[in-house]
Amino acid sequence: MHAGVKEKHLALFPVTLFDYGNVAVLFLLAALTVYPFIHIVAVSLSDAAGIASGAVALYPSGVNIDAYRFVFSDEGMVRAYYNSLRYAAIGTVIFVLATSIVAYPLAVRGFWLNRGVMIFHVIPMFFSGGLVPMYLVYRSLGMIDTMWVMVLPGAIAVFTTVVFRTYFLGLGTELREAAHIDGANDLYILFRIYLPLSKPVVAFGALFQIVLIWNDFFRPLLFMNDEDLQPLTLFLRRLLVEVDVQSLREQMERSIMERERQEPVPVQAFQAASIIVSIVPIVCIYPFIQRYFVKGALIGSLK
Amino acid sequence: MASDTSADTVTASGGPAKGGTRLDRIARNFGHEKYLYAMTAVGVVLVFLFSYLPMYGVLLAFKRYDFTAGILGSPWVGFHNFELFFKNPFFWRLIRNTVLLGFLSIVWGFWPPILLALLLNEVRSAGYKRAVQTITYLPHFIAVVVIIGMLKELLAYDGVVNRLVAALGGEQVSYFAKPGWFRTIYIGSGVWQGIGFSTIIYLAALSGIDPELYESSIVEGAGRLQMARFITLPHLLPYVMVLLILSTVGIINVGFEKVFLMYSPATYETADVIQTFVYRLALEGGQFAFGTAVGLFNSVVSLIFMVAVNLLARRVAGHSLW
Repeated sequence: MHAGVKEKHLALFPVTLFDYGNVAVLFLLAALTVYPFIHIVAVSLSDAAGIASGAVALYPSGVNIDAYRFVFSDEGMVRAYYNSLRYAAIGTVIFVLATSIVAYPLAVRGFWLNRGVMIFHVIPMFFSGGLVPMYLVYRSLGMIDTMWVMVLPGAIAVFTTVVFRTYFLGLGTELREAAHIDGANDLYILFRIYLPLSKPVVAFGALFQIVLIWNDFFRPLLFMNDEDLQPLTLFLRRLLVEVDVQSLREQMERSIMERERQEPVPVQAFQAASIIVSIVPIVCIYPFIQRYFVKGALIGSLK
Repeated sequence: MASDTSADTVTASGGPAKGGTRLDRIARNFGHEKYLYAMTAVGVVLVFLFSYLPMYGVLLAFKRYDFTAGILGSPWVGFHNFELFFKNPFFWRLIRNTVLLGFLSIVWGFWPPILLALLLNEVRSAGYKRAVQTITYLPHFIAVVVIIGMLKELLAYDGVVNRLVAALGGEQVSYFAKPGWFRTIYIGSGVWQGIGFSTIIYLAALSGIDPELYESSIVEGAGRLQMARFITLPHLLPYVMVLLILSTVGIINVGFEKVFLMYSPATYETADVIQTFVYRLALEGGQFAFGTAVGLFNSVVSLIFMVAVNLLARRVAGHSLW
């Protein structure tokens, strides 16, 4: 967004009480957005006494990283984490390949199938069979307890396909025609000429899919019964939402005793540390989200 | 979206297309453009398998599910499953909860991003504006299960919020176990999750305003409030309309995931919606045909709703999706 123009206009007006109020209100909003995260970090670093006394609000009490040690030594957590990373990585590669392959012909002007294909892709946006038929059909396709259910159904999405197509159209038709004359086929053109020129949109698509798969809850809930294959979101559901604190505490104490560790980790700190560890990948890609996501989302939504 | 596909002629780029019937030309075009056809097929196959096949499964709504016979072989029962749903003692509760949750989400969700965009638009420092934006759209990228986990910690009986309430002389509440609090928590956290991300679209729309409009109004002696009122806001209106129409789909398609993660038998009274009912019916109770019928009811109502709202919007405001 072109910064500067609006600011220049604003500079023509004297600074009023409204400006101070505005800055304050926006600060409050930003604080309200980050506070829950700060609180969770504080809890994750606090000891049992600090949490129980209710002293933890903004900063930790009795600082220690035992909860994190516990998270990283928890077999279920590590396995779920690894699964999610794997699904996100593989799913993203498949997604970028499939989306660019599907968007490419749609960006060829005058290809007679395009109008029909576009409608074919859009219809499912407005009508779906619903949860049960989806479950039964996917089951008969053999998707239950496989990695494929995490990566294939989402490999094509109308929104991102339109974003890719729009970008390809912007590269111009001459490029394809010239390459054709040189004897290149369309796959070569797509992967050797178009994609290297489309880094922003590929970055957008990849980020879009990484976030989607990393956060996906619905599909694993329906199709992933095998705990060994479950992604992080299902593990977190058991830990944070379904949790029966008493039994979780006993379970943790048992596993602590098994490993002959002295200090017990408070359940809340363990939960909080898991939350923080689970959003680390999102935080890591956040600078890229800021750079590519917003622009890409706009190509698609303003269409 | 489909309307901007360029002119449909059988003459795909490069293909010679003189003479012959339409079929001949398509056949010749196929030879020339076999890569295009193959690439198109990839998308068609994927979408067919994962989106269209489940649509045919909708037939199950009119059948009695026979596991050994499969969807096609199961016997027909007409509208029996629908009757079952309409006579269900929870029918009206489900409709009320679903519509209310969806409707209130829109009522409380659509204007805060506009307000935030207008406020950000008046910020003098580009850096401050950017910082606020970057922070406020963070929750959009966090998994719902994590959001609910954080809410449960914050709103726990001995959590920060309750301690604050107690310090102010109020009474501690176990928020997640009280039906009366469900909608407030659901919608409040929804605004918190979505406000920053929705603002992106509005701010982009604002950056498309011709600077000369502002300049000439300044020359005419307009104040900032007048500029916001007569230039900025009218410019946002078409975007607001389109987003509102799109959001009406959500009135009945209330997000399954978040309700599912937030509710418990203690809060079914206000929290149980059609989608969660379907889930329990089918995946926990094995009543697949009944569940399909209820799901179909949900889809059809939401489709009718969207067409109606779109029609209304075109009549009243001259904006529509198609």
